[in-house]
Amino acid sequence: MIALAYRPVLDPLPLHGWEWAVLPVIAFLMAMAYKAVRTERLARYWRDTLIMAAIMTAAMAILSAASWVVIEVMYALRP
Amino acid sequence: MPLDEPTAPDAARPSQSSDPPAPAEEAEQAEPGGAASHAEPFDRRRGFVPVAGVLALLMPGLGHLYLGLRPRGARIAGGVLGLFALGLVVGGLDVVDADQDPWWYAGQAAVGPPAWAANYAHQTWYKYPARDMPNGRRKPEPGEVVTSTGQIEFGGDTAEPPAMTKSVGRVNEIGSLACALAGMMNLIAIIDAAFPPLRRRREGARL
Repeated sequence: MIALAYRPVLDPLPLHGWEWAVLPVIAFLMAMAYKAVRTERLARYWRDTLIMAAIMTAAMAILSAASWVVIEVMYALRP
Repeated sequence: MPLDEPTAPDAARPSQSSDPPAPAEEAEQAEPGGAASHAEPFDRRRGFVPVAGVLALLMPGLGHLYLGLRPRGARIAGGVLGLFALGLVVGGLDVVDADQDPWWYAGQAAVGPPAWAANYAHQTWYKYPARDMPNGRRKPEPGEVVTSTGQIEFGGDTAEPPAMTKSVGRVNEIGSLACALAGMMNLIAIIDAAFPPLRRRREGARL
């Protein structure tokens, strides 16, 4: 098969193994759109956006760690 | 037009300096959730501007721009279109597929014309009839070619790669997720544009 160079949008990004690195970006863009609707004072918009993105990223990391503990540790310790 | 106010014409025109300040305006002198907001209830009244809702569906952020809320509209557009573009770049055009991923597309379609156009391009330009799908169309897999009659056939290992690569695995999941989240975020913006809080008059909203 003839191999072609990466074509943006037509080909998926070669990120296999590094997909998780996109999650903070997704969290930031989500917070950007959400806080544009929900925040009451635009003077605090970017601060609120960063806080929301940080909370979402931290929550995903904690849930991932908890899942790892359940699957890798607790399952291995089962009677 | 306010939903829960009997004096609709008064709320439909821009607030003037001679008008007595609305409770919302007084309440927002203090930070919501602050000490003063305990004394004055937070104003949750909303208007109804269907044109802004339709515009928000046609282009993310346009509804808030129509209401005179330019900073909010620009940030909504940046967030929603950024998420959608990120999903397309990560997962490729394959992540927007109303035919094979209808549930994902149900969320993605709320982005509006960008999602509709991406799906149209995917279905029209990159899918072809195949022997194994007598009543449908699909993308050529690696090793397959599109013949001059527009039919997918096996072309062997020396075949040209397909015009679009099918994304699989987590890259496909992340791309689909980002595009669907863009639609969900725009849905929130559409609802907010169609039913804008009346307290946004302080920001210059035309309500």
